[in-house]
Amino acid sequence: MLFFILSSGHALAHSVTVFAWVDGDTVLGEGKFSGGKKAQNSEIIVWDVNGKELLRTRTNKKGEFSFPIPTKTAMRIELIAGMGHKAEWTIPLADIDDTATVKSARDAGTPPIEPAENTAPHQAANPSASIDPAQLEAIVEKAVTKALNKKITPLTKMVADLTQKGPTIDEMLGGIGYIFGLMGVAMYFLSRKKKT
Amino acid sequence: MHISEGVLSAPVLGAGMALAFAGTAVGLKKLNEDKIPQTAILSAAFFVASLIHVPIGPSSGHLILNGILGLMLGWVAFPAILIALLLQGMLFQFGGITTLGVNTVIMATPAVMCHYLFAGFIHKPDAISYAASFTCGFLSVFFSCLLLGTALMFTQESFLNVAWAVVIAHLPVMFIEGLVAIFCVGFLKKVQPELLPKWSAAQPQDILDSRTKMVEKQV
Repeated sequence: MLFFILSSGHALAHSVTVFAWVDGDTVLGEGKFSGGKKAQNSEIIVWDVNGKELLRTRTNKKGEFSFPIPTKTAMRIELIAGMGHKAEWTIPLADIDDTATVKSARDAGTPPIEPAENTAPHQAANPSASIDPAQLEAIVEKAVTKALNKKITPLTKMVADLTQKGPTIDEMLGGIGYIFGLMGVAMYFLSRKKKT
Repeated sequence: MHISEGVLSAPVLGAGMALAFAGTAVGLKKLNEDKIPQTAILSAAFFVASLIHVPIGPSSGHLILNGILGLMLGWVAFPAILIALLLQGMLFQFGGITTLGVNTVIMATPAVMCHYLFAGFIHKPDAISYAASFTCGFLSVFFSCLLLGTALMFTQESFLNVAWAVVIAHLPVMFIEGLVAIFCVGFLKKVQPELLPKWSAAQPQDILDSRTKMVEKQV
């Protein structure tokens, strides 16, 4: 019984959203209910374009989840929060394509970088020693990726918050306006019926 | 309380739509001109109530207000809830368009039930009337939870598990809805008892007569 009380806490509000983005070779994401509650311990199922199941995972206590990119394909991420709540997010192939190449370049670059860093003091002591262009490229690429990630991460978070925003005041007023508009239409037709 | 798209199977969605259509047809038949503004206001209240979260206990559900809606409107609750849910689906992405029928049945059926169960007690002395209002608000959410469990039973876990979890999660909402119903009924009884259902039936004949005489005099 206690299990139900605790586990039921997460699946209540009326709509749930999921948002995911690619960071290097992993996919990060989060699930939220309208009203701002995190979708804790909800099931995440990842499908490819053809509807084949790629993997399953669960959100943590903060409603976040992450998994390594299983294959280079567009993915459909499905969040199942129970009690009839479900949401989807699609990651297009283009997103993965870019980062996957970055990843492979980084992987290729990693072995040379390690010795490069180890030998850095020697190089400093001997500045005239030329750096291998491929090594330099790898180092620059790594530094740029790191710097970009640092700059972009807050932006991605911001986009995540924006896509998961609840109803705005205009939408509420719009809905109420529709209802009263319908009331007007109904009254109009009834009054015409009365006259004839 | 709103079931999302893609959760239910086609037969359940179809059955929900058929039932919602039938209920709405009955409701529209019973909708007369005097009741239209009241219906619109209650429909708007229902539309907005879902945005009010109840952060009590481990859960955060939202108000539904189907009890008071049903108590006041009877069968007309069906079209009122249908329209409000349609707008919620389109504007807030609550629920969805394919699940509109099922969601309407889940929330409107208890409303109609509560009307027939409790409307007769509203004009009784205060204690009875308030008890009836509270039970009305409380039970309407309770029945909605059971219906939600029934709808999910065909696609998900067993009925008992789902229904139990939903009921526990909505307990705070049930209490608050009960209190809201008491407040609404208490207020209307003092201010405009004619708006409450079965008002004329509850009045002794001589009071009714004197009231019509008064109205005639004023005219």
